[in-house]
Amino acid sequence: MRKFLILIFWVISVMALLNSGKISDIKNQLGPATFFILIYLSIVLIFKITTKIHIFFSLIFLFLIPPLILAGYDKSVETLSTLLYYFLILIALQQGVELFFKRKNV
Amino acid sequence: MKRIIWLGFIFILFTLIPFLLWGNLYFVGGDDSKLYYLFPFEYFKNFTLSLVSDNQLGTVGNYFSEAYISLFSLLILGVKNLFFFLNTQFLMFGLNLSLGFLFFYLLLGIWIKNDNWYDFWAKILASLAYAFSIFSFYTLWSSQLFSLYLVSIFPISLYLFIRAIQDNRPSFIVFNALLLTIFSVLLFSIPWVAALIIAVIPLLTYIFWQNRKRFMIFSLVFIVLIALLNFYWFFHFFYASYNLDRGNSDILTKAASYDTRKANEYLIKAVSKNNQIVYPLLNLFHKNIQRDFGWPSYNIFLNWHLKLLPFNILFLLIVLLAGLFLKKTKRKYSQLYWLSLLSWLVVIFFFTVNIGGWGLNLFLWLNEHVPGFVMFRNMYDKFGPAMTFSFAFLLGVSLKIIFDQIQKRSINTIIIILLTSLIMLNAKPFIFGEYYKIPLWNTKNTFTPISDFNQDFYDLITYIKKIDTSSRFLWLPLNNANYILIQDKNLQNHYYVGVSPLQFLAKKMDFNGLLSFPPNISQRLLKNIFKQNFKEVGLFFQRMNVKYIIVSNNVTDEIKKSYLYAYYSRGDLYNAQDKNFKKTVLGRRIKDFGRRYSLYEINNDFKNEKIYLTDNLNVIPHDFSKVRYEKLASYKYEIKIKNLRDEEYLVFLDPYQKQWNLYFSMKNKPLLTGSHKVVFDYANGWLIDPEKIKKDLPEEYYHLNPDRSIDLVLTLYFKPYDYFYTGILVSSITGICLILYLIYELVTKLYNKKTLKVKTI
Repeated sequence: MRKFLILIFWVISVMALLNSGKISDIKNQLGPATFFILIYLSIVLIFKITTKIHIFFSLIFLFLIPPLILAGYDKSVETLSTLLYYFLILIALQQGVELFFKRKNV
Repeated sequence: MKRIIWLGFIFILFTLIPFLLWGNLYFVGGDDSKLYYLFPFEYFKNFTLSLVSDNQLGTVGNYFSEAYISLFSLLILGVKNLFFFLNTQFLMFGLNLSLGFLFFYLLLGIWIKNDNWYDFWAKILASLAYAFSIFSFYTLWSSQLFSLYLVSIFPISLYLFIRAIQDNRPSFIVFNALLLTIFSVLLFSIPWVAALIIAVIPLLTYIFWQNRKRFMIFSLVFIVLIALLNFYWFFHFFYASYNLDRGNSDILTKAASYDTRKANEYLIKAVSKNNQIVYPLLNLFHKNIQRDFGWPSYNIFLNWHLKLLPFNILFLLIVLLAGLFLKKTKRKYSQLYWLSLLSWLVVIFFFTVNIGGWGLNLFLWLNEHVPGFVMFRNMYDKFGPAMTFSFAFLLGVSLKIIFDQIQKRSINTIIIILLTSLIMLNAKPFIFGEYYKIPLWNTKNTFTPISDFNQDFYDLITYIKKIDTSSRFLWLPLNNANYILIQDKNLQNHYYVGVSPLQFLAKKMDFNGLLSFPPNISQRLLKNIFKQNFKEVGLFFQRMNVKYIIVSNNVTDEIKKSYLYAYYSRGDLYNAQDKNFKKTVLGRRIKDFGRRYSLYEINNDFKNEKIYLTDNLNVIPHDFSKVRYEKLASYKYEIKIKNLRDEEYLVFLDPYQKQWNLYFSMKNKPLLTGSHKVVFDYANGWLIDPEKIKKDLPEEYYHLNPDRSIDLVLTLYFKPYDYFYTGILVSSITGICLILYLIYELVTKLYNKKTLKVKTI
């Protein structure tokens, strides 16, 4: 199942790349979020990155946000909070895969 | 036992919050008046049972059943009579808050049993987060429309539904259907309900997966029962959609139209363009939308919530920490965690939209391609309650996982204390009613909560009630909305600002502002007022069947300069309605009511009647003597026509509905002499040809005068009213059967319990 998912993610990413011709076009067509998630998910699956690492990243973003808001770095806050949201999606996706495909008590 | 005492204490405390901290005035006004808390009987009797004409406040009524509010207003009437010594609105609000808390606690209890005190506290904290969520303050509690009761009814309904499936208890489904019928208003709060359903889809899928067959059967039974119990208004809601009239599209058609979808695109972009996801992630409402649109609550947000922002990371910290323990926790809780996280992430997207480069495009695509999605146009409002539910549920599950894994009492106690403090601190402006102390938009010293209407207004209502007319009243000066302003009985700077209660207090129709009229017509009216074409304005009033004008004499300077009278600039709409304007449209002064109100007839140049005969559809005649009519009910008029010699049009100045039919009163036979035409772009007209009547019908249908003219007695009848009692009968029989079933279930259960006890002894 893991290999199958990796294959699907890569195929979608490569198809998007071939259709557009340029990296910037992919960004426009799929949006940076989708592209990022697909590539990242396949990396996650190849290297078996655990939920804990995603949570670790999320925690770093979370603790960085308040001081940046107070300092008035609006753009950075927006980027970080969007990244935090994507990492939360990753946690949810990874949990979903584990719950559906691994019948053990996770 | 101790836990029940705790719960009881919190329940009572929450019920008392409005009484103790929100003052003693009624929060009324706005788009639905909220006056059913003050006048539930009048509201029920004179408004909710109307199908046509008399079924709108401060505007023209179309074919639409308002009966969906009837059971709710009867409930308020019961509560008002039972607790006559209390502020009915505050009692309902208090119960809404406490029942919302209690049933969210019980809902979580389906999965989180009280194995120890930490389980209890996990549920209490999540329920506190639910009851005191900022997303509810800014949406449901802010507008206080009927959808407010979703705070309590949604967890109750979901709890009953899930319990029914898990424990195989059909009686819970029946009770649920009855409860939702009493709160039929919530079935009409479709956008908020739909958003909440999106939020619980993961949870319901989980329940479905556990018991597929029962889930399907119970869902089907539930839907059928809801349909039958609400048949009395459902029927008209759908029947109206399938019998559309010219220009009178119903809500369903309007929502699905291409124009609405296109117009929505602009609104969606405008509303979401500055949303930042950081705020909902930290359990806060969007900041920039408050700033950009000058929301009165912005100051509270700036001075209170933003200061709490650094501490609010605790909410997400708990969610993330729970994620670290997923491998060690029971499968049931890791599943619940995943489902609630999924729900929260989906709802955050819909609530924010402006995420990355794809968020807005996806939302616009959904708006364009998914039928009905158009209802989520103010996404921050519609998905507010869904945010409340999803986050509180996720918090509850996360706390359960953390408490199970961290066995150290000191750490768990610190988490409980910190989280309780943070939730209560975030809720401080709501608990102390600060949102309700905000002045009317664009003013500094005008407030909208009131104790009662002033005596002059009551005198005016008593007088108007006695006027024998079915024509309309107009309030001057006209404002930007369709609101009237009524000063409080005692407090000088407190006003009722909302739709007019004239319909249910005096049984008279009225207009109050630009929104009282259809958009294309009100634009023409506005243009003529600003261009000082007052004669045109008078003619417009004449065509809209305005016979009496009420002038409000005590509009304060501050209100004149508020949004109510600002079109291009502050106060311009008020100033445009100057002395010349009044001189043109006002006729004989009938009576003054204190210094606040003066009642006038319309100027003789614009005299009119609701029903008249004319040979030219474009002009209203000066002579109305040929027709006498009496309004028997909102759906029925008796019309007597004298000396009809030539072909003429019978005009009825009420919105065009093809279901309005003319009958010969004596024979109850339809009058088929000419087509049903649209008059003045909104009203009804029928061609009546006396020669054709004489030729086609025997003489008992009319009276032939010596000069060969005829007299007719006709009935104007709104046909869908034929189904009014059938609908009530279907719903009543279903309701009675279900109540008997519930009583039978209860008695059987009690009897079985007693028998078991005797056998044990």
